[in-house]
Amino acid sequence: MKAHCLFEQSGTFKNEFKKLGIEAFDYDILNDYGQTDFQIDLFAEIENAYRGAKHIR
Amino acid sequence: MHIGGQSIFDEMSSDDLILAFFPCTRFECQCQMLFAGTAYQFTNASDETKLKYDIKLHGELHDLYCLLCKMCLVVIDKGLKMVIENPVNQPHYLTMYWSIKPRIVDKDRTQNGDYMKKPTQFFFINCEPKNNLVFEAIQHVDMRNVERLTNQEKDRKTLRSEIHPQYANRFIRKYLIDYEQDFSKLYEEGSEEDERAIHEKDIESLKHRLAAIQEMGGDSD
Repeated sequence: MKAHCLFEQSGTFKNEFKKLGIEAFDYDILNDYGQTDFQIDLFAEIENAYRGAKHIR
Repeated sequence: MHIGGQSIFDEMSSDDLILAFFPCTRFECQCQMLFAGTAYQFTNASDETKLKYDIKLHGELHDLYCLLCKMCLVVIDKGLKMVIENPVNQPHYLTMYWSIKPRIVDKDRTQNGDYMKKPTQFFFINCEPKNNLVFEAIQHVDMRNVERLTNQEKDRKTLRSEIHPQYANRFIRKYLIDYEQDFSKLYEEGSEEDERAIHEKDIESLKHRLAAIQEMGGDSD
């Protein structure tokens, strides 16, 4: 199992998942503290995924 | 940024867990004052200004609400598991106008080691909260007073949003993962060293009591 933490303040949870031995990543549009694994526009990703989904439109 | 229907969700599997701290500013009760034009910044604003702001604000609310729904639909479609975090206050837009209901409502986060009470609700999509026992003392955390938050390095918004690692750790163990506390260690740690310490403490206490009685000239029996 991996943990994917999205949006602001996800870094704290990411670090705690790791302390518990669970691989974890965080995603956010900002990287103020230089610790965000994936600096990405999550809103655009959601829109993209929604448009590309097979069963929903 | 991905294009053509591809996204970060393609890299996630049904065994994984997504934890989304979805932006809440347009869902919270404070927004009501902005809509009503009664917030401080509108004290001397004209009706025209307020109405134009209402259109802008409602558009932002609409966009965020739709994004939230789309995120859930993507997760459902792909068979992924997700937990969404959002504050809970009265009135809260999601509480009143969303079909998904929270599975956990934490009314006081300080009870589990966070900085502030900040009532919070958690929505579970394609999964259920665990109910593991986390039986351990909570380390003291100084409560943060919202009115007095000042920090040279962080702004007030960040300080208000921060979550204490202790709270995050306990929440994960209690609700999100398969976790079983090892109570055997608690028992072992109390068997030899602690018993010796208790015994020595008892002897010291007895000596003090004996000395006190003798000073008073009483019978030490």
